[in-house]
Amino acid sequence: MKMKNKIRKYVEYIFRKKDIENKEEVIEEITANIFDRYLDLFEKYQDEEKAYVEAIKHVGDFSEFENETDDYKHQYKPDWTNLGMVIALVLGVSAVISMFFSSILAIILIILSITLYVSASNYLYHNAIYEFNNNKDVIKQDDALYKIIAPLKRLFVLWNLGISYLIAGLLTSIIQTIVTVNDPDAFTSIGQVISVYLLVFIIIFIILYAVLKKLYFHIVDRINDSLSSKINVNVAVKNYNFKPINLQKIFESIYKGLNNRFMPLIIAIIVNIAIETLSFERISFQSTYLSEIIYFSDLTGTIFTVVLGLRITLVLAGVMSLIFNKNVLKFITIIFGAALSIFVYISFDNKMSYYAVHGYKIGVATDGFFVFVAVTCFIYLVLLIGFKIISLFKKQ
Amino acid sequence: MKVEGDFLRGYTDAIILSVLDEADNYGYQINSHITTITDEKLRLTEATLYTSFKRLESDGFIVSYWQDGTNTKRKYYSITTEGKKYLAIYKKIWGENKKIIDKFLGGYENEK
Repeated sequence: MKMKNKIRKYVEYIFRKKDIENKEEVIEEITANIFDRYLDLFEKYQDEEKAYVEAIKHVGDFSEFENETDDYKHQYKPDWTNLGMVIALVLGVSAVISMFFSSILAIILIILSITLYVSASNYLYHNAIYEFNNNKDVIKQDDALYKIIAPLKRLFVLWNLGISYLIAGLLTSIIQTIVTVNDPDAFTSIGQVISVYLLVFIIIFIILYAVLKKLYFHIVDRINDSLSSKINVNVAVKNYNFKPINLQKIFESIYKGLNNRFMPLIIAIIVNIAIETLSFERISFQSTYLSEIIYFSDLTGTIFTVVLGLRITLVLAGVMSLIFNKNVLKFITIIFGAALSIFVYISFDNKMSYYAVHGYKIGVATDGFFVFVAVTCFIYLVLLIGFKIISLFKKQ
Repeated sequence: MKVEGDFLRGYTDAIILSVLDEADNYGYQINSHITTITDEKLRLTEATLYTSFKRLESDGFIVSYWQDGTNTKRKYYSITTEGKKYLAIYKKIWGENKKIIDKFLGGYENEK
């Protein structure tokens, strides 16, 4: 088996850059053939290494399966357009990073990125027409078209992220202003602001995605219509098409990520941190949750003790899920985590006015964080149950 | 003396089809069969063998299926009716070509 693996590694190495159909099957077949030959040679030589080398010697040359586009890309020396496209991409990435620090800088970088791409692709487009009309050089024409299409998808995603982020920020501020004018007490929690921001961001991102996808195909069609040799454009389209969205695969990957054995423990720790942060802010200024149990001897103290016990149990359940990796344990931990979060939040909420009277600071940021934890637990739970139901239906 | 590969390269497909005409078989066994029949004067490389399989399969002359073997899973090939027809034509053309070449280069009979 060791030698078979060695042969398989060799075959995988030969095919690493080859773009062929059913690659795994081909590798399996060729590995099996070479391994059979190895066994015969081993019987003859009684020497593993010698038999291996002899078997490999007969593999031959698979160069005709080389992915042609790899060679084709490097047929011409790079010109300024190559650099322009790279800089446009770098600017796009920088815009996405800088939007967290400075909106103005992000806008400037996005505009620069778009300008650079448009000018470089305009040059390439006319160059492609020139090469075809004057030199009848289809390969050079193809090369120019390839350069236009190649970075477009990545750029669209980066521009979309940046623009969606900026528009979402703007719209959230407008919504916040309108709501606050009508009701000054509404929309003060950071949790609410983040939720609205995320929702607006997602909506704008989806709308822009649809628009840019249409624009992408429009650009490709436009190029196609302008040229006599349409087949060359189709090559570019075929290679750089948007991948169809495979919902099932997306669902499966999300489920795998959520159903990770570490997840319940992570949730347990986050819930604990959230409760501790909440008590730190609300119960008494700069005191820990534990000290409150000692301090309060009445019902509040009892609630705190019970909650502490539940918190420890939650962490233990998280550890058990990590060790045993059982779905039942994961579900129990998550349900328990969500329930505990809600229970603590409600009980603290009732006490809030009491402590507020005593002049304790009520941290708005803590509110947001706590709401975020509770909502995450809830969404996580809904997703897990949803996926479980879907997989049950699939089995049937 | 080993048979020169260049000369036989054009006949690889026909040779494989003729082996498969006897029975379904998998890559290594087909190659071993060819080596035995030619007294080890002809052994196809994996690349040649696989290229030929791919070509014959896409032309519809052979079909493949997986079967569990002793050490590993094997991909078996089987000749189709179209493949048999193609082989018959090939044999006919080979017979005619052989006669033509023999007239210039001579066959065993001329050597004697």
